Amino acid sequence: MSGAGTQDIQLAKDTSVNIGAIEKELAALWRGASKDKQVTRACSWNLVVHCGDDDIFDKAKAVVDEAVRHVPSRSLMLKPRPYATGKEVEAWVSANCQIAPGGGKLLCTEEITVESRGKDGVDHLPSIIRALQVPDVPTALWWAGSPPTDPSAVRILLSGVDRLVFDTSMLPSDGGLTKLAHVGGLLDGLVLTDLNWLRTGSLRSVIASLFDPPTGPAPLGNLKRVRIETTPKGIQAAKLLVGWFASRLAWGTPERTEGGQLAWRMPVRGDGAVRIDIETNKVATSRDSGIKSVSLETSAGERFALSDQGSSQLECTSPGIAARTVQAVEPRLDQLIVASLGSRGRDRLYPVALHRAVELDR
Amino acid sequence: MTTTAAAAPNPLRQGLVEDRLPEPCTVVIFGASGDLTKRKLVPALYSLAAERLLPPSFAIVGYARKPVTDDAFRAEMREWCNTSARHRPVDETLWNSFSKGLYFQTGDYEDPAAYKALKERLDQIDKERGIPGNRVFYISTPPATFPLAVQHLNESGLINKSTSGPFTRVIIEKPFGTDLASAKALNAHCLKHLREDQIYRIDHYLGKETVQNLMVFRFANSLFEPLWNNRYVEQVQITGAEALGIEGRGGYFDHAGILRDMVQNHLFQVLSLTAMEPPVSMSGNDLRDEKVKVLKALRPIPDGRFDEYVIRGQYRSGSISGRKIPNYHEETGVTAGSTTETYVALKIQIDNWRWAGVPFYLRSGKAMAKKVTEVALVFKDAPHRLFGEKSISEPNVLAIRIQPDEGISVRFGSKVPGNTLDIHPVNMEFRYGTSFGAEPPEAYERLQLDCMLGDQSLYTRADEVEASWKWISRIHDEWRQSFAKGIPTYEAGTWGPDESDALLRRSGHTWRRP
Repeated sequence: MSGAGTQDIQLAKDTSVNIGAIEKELAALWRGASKDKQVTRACSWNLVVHCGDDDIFDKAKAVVDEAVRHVPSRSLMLKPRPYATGKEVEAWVSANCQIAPGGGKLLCTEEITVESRGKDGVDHLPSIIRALQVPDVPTALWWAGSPPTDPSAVRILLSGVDRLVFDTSMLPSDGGLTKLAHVGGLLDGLVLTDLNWLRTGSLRSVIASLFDPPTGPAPLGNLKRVRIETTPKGIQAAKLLVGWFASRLAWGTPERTEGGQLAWRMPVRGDGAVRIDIETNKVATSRDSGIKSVSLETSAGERFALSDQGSSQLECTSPGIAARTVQAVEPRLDQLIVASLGSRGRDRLYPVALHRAVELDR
Repeated sequence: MTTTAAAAPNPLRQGLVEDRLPEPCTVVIFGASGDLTKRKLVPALYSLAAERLLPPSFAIVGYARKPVTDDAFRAEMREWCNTSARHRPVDETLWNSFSKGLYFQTGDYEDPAAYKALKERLDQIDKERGIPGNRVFYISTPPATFPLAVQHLNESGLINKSTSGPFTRVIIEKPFGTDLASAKALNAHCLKHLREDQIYRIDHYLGKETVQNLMVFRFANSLFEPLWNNRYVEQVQITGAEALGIEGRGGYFDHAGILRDMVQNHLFQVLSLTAMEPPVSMSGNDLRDEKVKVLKALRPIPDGRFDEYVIRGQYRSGSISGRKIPNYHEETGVTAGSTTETYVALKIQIDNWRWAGVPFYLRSGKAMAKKVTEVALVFKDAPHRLFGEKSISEPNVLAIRIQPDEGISVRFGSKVPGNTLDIHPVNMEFRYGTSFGAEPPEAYERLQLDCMLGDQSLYTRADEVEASWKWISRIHDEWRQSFAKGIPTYEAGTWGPDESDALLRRSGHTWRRP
């Protein structure tokens, strides 16, 4: 528990219930709880969480338990086990409560875990999701673990989903973004929310600040080289960063410069080009995104750069301005989930940046 | 992102979800050794830093007479952030970075040389931190120093009046004048040294989440606005009650009174937002145009009939939540025989198409039963009592709670379960805390951020201030003339003097119990 003056109370912990009677069980739970306390059920999202294995489930559950304090949601933890045997579908309910901000009432959220076994069991999941969605609040599907790249696996779960949340840092470095982009196109109006994109939000903001006054944006029209140092885990984040540059600065279609290397040449207005390098050799950083440094060089010899100094600090260097250290925190996973359910999760720059980043896969 | 007029837009900045990020700037706080700086302003800026809403190049300079070193200022502010910031306790890493941008400059408010020294210091900080000369001056000093501070800032070259180049904005704390004449004089003085779009007259009520939600509630939903007029609304009640006495502020309060301290600014802002027409846009001027129209439509109290529209009171000893409250006259700093009002109730008519015939009752007081600020729309009865005697005896009420426990409730009649047709009023409630599970930001966070961004929507414009003083000053004039009448008293811990109840009773209304 993090908030000052609040406390955790567990009304019910993983009570096994009949799948058809979940709502009834929850209603009984609330009636019982309200006898001796003022209890408020809070729900501003249906948060469906796809957990491909037990390890992912354990981690995702801890994240969800923390996130729903900040965005009260009915969470529906899915454990599809197509190769398991046993009862086709089993469900458990639990409720977590805290003293509401301002004191007095208990603010409670519901968590339902559904485990399905065998192919038939997995086939039940879409109808279970539909039945358990709280009406009139939006639904997000968080695909915990590696993002979906098989459209058929994800399509059946997308009905009624407003936002698909995933983390591209877990995609394979080659071709992963392309496959993901196909999945994103499955449903009209589906908002794609990439935790990896959110994770680098502060980094993009600091990069943008290098071209605020007094420097101004003129050097951006004169770039000749962009270098990004990253760990292998950060390759997708680096590609998305390049996609962002390309979309904002109207660069042309990239061409690989050397076979096997993460290096491209992207045409810019006029007849010039900017060289892009994503370098992964011997790079180490404490940043979750994996990105250690970004530097932008102009044909006039100016260099704008930022590099990881540890403890969420970046050192920024720009021509004519003394080097300075700025704070650029990468949020924890539970904070990213909270952000993904807010306005930051509906970032209009992301689809364009993803589209341009996919070009780097070719 | 706002940019200075002549600057080209930064394409990397555009569209960022964090695009409400101000340009690099320095906030200079005049009155940095005061309570507001410690309890509110710096903790609010720290919380903005915690939410990544401050630019990477940013500095705060505290300015006051008291000699304080940068390090001592940092240490003191850390303590206050630890106890008062929304994001508390402070995060070590974040604090290390935030505190590097905290400075203190000792100086007089009257001494031109001190402003010259301040300018040199700010230029040096700009160089150190990569700030392009953008500055916000937050004047949080006693009101008598406002004019002098603005004048010296300009004369020492600290104000860029041009619309190009680095921005200069000046936040002026309340009270903005003490009557119509002084407000006009202060406006005129400020406009000699600043453009109107550089003047940010702050009323922290406008930074409160629920006050802003009043606009969202009205104009982002189709459900309520059709009912928001004299066809359905019987009366509107706006309450701003404090459960404390004057708590050592006698010196200030005895000169001001509750009408100046609360009503002219805070409650009139709430009144304007409740009664205004939908603005063309949410831009600063469109919004404020609509608020001014409401203030201009307030019907002047007819000469000689003030007692029918205004009730004042002064608290006598009593008890609030088990704590004894002394008689107002026994409070420190209060003049013997003072007739300063600690309570006021007003009946206001708004002469426009929407509100003709609907009384707006405003009340504000110290030492009242509990601390609450709310707006309540009390609706007319249903046109026909289908359920006869068992019809709802209580009217429908839509109450918007501004503080504490921010939220909205709707009271309506419901059938009592059973085999008879009994109807009982019930409440349907929305509470910020329970729906969003988060504490709303402090008003000073939003307002300081808006100023850095150049957004004046939640700040008061000159004509708005003057329109409210024009209405309020007549009451002060009347009270001065009827000094001999004395002032009704009320027991501390109650909802005000009996005369206040009578004010509503004459129209067949009663005060809500908030």
